[in-house]
Amino acid sequence: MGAQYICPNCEYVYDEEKGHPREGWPAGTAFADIDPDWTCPDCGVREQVDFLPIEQFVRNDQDGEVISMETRAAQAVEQGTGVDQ
Amino acid sequence: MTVQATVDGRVIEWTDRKRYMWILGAVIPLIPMVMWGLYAWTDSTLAWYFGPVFVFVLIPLFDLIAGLDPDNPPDEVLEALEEDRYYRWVTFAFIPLQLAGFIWGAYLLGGGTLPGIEDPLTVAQKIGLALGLGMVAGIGINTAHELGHKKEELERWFARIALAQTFYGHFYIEHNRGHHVRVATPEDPASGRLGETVWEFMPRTVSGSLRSAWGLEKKRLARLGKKPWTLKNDLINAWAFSVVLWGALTIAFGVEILPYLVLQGVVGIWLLESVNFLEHYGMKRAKLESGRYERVRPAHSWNSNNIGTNVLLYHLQRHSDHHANPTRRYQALRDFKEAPALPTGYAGMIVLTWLPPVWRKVMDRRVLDHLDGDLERANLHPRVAAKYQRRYGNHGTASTIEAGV
Repeated sequence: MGAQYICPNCEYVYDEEKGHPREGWPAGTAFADIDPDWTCPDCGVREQVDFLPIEQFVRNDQDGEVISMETRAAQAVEQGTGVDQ
Repeated sequence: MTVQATVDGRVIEWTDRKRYMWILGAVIPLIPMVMWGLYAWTDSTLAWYFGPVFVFVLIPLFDLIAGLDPDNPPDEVLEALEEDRYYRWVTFAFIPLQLAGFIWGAYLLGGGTLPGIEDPLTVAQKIGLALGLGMVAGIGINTAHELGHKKEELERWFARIALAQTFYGHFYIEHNRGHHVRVATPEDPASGRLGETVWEFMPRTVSGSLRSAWGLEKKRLARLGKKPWTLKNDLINAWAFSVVLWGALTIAFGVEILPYLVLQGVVGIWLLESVNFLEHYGMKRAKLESGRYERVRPAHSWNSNNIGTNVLLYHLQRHSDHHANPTRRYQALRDFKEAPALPTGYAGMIVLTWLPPVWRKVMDRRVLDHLDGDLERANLHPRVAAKYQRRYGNHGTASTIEAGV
């Protein structure tokens, strides 16, 4: 199984092994090769940069716990940890 | 009926008081049947004008009388509530009724007769009928909106069928991938700007949304190495539904129905775009240092808890929650206390848009109040920018507006 990335809003999962051919990402397309402004194909309100590696996913941000790229970066600075945390 | 969820060993129960009211949404496509009954009973041409009377008089009155419904399902039961398939059947029921009403209307527009309608309709009667069909068509776009946001392929196809009557199939693409991304920014054609009139907004949103939808599909197809002129283009395959539907009706009932089909389509689109105009009127998201806009917050959408319009539009007026969670099903949408609220339901507010001075009088004060009088935070229409700066800029506060300066 390829690496998986999850939309933090609607929990759509991008699987590198399967890709998303309809959206123009053939099977095997690495997540890193996807346009940063590509929007989630299901909810449309999170972009590639907002997706999380599925291992890091705890719960969706539907109830106000907003996990945007910017929020994660701010949290990382606060915690003095790496940008990927 | 009660939904239940067990969280950390606690059982949480919630009863949806609106559960059976949602069936009323499927009453809308029966408007043409009411016209038939009224005409058979009164023999009056006015009977054919029941559609606009229902939407712009009866629903707003009902909203004023029935009042507000702030009832929210608790977070714990949202998942169980969304899983309950009853709610999706209610939306599915709309579609065959919508199609049946449209075919019935086209038959009469082509000069057909029925029991109680002994003679072919006059032009004045046909215009009324087309307006009524347009009301159903416009509210059909709302049904398509609910279905088009869902993850299930079947519901997405139903959305295209509901859009066929108005030839507005591109809405499904533009709304989900365009409007939701850019909502409450100056770049969004479908977000109303402070000081803009609905009459200016219409050409801007209709042409801008079409261009944006085409661009989105063109970009997607280019990644696939395809040109945009293909049936794989979701705009073209959605419009194909309309070509088939309108084509079949024209062959069956004669080419003379075409002007009326166009009229009902325009009316339907007008109704939908009027709602777009008011849903985010004046709201603007701040730009972050990263160059992206801040997340859509509850504060960026106008909401209403008026129960009449909410039941008929599948909670569309709980619009803040919809933008926070676009795939969430209508029955699970909640009212956010921090979101700005309209003085009445969408149906009544549309009537106000027709008279821009009245609209501005009611709404501009509310926009400025909501933004603590800070014009910088409003999505200001360029045409009125200088005037509004003079009037409300710098020290412009709600009280100066109140004074009608």
